[in-house]
Amino acid sequence: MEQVIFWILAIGTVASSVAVIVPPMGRNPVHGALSLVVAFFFLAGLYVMLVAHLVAVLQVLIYAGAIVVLFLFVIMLLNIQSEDLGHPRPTISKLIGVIAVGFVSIVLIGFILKDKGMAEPPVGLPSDSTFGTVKTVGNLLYTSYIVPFELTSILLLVAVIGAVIMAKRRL
Amino acid sequence: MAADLAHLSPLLIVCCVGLGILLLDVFADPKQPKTFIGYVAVVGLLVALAATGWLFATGGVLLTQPYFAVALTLDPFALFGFALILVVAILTTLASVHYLPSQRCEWGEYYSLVVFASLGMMVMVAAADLITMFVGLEIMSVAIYVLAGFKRQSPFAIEAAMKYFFLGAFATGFLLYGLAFVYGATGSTNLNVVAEHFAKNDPGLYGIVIVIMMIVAFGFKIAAVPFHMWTPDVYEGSPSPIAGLMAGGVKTAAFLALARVFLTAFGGADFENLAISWREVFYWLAILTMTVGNILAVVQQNVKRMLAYSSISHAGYILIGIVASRSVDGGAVAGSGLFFYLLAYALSSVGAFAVVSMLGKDGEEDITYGNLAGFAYRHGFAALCMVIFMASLAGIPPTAGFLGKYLVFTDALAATHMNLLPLVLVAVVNSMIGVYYYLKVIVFMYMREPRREFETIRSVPMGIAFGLAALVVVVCGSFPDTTIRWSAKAATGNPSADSAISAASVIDVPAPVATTAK
Amino acid sequence: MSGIPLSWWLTLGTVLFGVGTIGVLTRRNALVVFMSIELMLNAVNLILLAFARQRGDEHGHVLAFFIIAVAAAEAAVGLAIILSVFRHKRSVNLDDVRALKH
Repeated sequence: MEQVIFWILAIGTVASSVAVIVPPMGRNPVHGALSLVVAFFFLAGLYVMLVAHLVAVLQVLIYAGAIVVLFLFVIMLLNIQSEDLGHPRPTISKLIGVIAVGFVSIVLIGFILKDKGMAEPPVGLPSDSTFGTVKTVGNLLYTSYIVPFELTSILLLVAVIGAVIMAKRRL
Repeated sequence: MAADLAHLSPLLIVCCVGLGILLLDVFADPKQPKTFIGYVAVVGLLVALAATGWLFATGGVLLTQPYFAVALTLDPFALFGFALILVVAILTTLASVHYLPSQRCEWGEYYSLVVFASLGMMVMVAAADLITMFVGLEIMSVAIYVLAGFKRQSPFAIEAAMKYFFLGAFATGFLLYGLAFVYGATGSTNLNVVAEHFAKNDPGLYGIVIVIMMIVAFGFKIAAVPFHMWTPDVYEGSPSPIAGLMAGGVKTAAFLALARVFLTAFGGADFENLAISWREVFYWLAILTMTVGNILAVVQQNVKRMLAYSSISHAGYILIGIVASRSVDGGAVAGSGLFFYLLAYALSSVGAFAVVSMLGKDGEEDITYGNLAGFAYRHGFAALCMVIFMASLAGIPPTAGFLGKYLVFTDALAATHMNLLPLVLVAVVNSMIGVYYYLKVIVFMYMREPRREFETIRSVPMGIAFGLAALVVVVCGSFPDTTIRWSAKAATGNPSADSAISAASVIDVPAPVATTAK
Repeated sequence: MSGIPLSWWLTLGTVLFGVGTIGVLTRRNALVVFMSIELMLNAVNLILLAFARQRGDEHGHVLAFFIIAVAAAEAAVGLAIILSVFRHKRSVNLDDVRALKH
């Protein structure tokens, strides 16, 4: 049963992410962004399978809810006509890049699948486990990871200033 | 706890300065020039520098609060980096105060972005945990992306920002993939815990993935060949003082972070015996970076592009320092030449870009050697400083650049773990090639008649910026004892490594709520 | 509930990462390239969560949290830069960004 769900979600994720980058769908950035939302939802499902409930919620809220909406907003704002997109020009360097990335990925996957330690399914969690809930993750966030957590606030501030500087018409 | 806050004061002061000048800008009269904000930033950074000096004099401090200690290390290594980054940020700010109005992009946010970028760099060099380092790296990068495109009305600047952004974000992906595997192998991202784990266990497949991904990610940040393509375009399109900050500050921070990650966490013997040893990879990257950077610098007509390629070739020399260094007892970095070289290189390049900023008034997109013709007759002092910077970058005595090269090469020849003689020979040949294009600048400044009148920015703070940088470069080159002592102190590494490990292992025990999950 | 070995998760993550990388290398539309980078970050998150599940500790969840936060910050700045480029060039095609080529 679990494997069936895994395969459905995995195939859905890969298919929708390929749709983001492959021209027929990805040709139009709006279609690309919508495929991206679909991929993010499938990923959120996979995160639930991994008992990462908080991250799954964040995935939907922030990635699908905020980031992709921002993408769509910019696409609408730019009102890109298809002539702005230019025509895809397959070049030798692109081909080499694709072959290299594909080769490295396949080699890596080969190693991963051969590795004995990785082939074992993870230990089961007790049914009353608090693994991956807001409480336990928040606990870590405010203790061991308090310094990077506070620094993230500076990062977001810098990003806000930066976005205003770059995008505002009149300063 | 209170002592920890005092020890973290360099970071806290820089953070407050950034927030303070942001507020200052809000309440400032929008019709008045924003010069004073720059001066406030300089004063604030000087205070942080003084705090850093105080901590460095005490020889590095221990953070007692365990949650701070797992994220940050304030050893002499980090404090040396703090000081260098703060000096570079101060010089950049001084060079900018009259440059910005001349480019019609004088907004107060510029200064807070410079300060926040420095904060990010400081976090990077002090990070004891990969995720802290990553957040610091992102603070720095996001600020620098925007600063690169700060002349918003110029298409060159915006394209520089875009190019830098895309390559930076792409590199981030690789860094995170490596980080995920570090976590997968060790269950932690704390550098000391990672080092402990790999001292006992064979890194195996994880090790190879980590090494490849980390090298790609850091390769982009330090602009090592073959990951250097963005450098000349970005340096050329950015405001000149920011190009100085990228060459002097970003590179320093990236190199120190790289040294800390590889020498502390992946410094174990097992990593040397992997199918892909990072030391071997850096060895070849160093040769490639020096040579390609140098050859491309020779053919440039544009001075900013020449300086960009020169900074690429210098990344090669600095990599020699990394290859020659060896971790001793969990985190110590042997090889003080690396630190001296970083100091000489950072100050020389910031100074050189500050001098180039003077030419900004006349349409900066194209500063060719021709524009420098006769520069010495009208700006004797600036030209003299430029001569010092070029001599330092070329490695001519009595400048700091010469001594830096000398120290790095002796470190490399003294290294027992690897025969680095071929590397040093390549570096020496490259240094000789380098003399050609550095001398070309001097020849044009002093021996050519000006072809046409061109306007320059006359600015006292800018003069102070490159004057100070030149002074330090000459003093460090002629009376190096103090600086060498500081570099050696920075190289002795981490007095707190053991306690950091114990603090980390205390925390690594899952919290009571999490134990039920096991 | 567990039955999926770690290697499957890592394979899926690596495939996603590869898809993202290929997207960055082949597509010239700045928006699509940026979406590909987001895919790469998500692949990393998946790998982190799989490791966290395997080890039975939540540190990986915290790391994923940071990556999501950073992705949001990058998205804000990146899209602002793309907007700015579009104002100058009326195009978001990376091949058109050639003013700096010599």
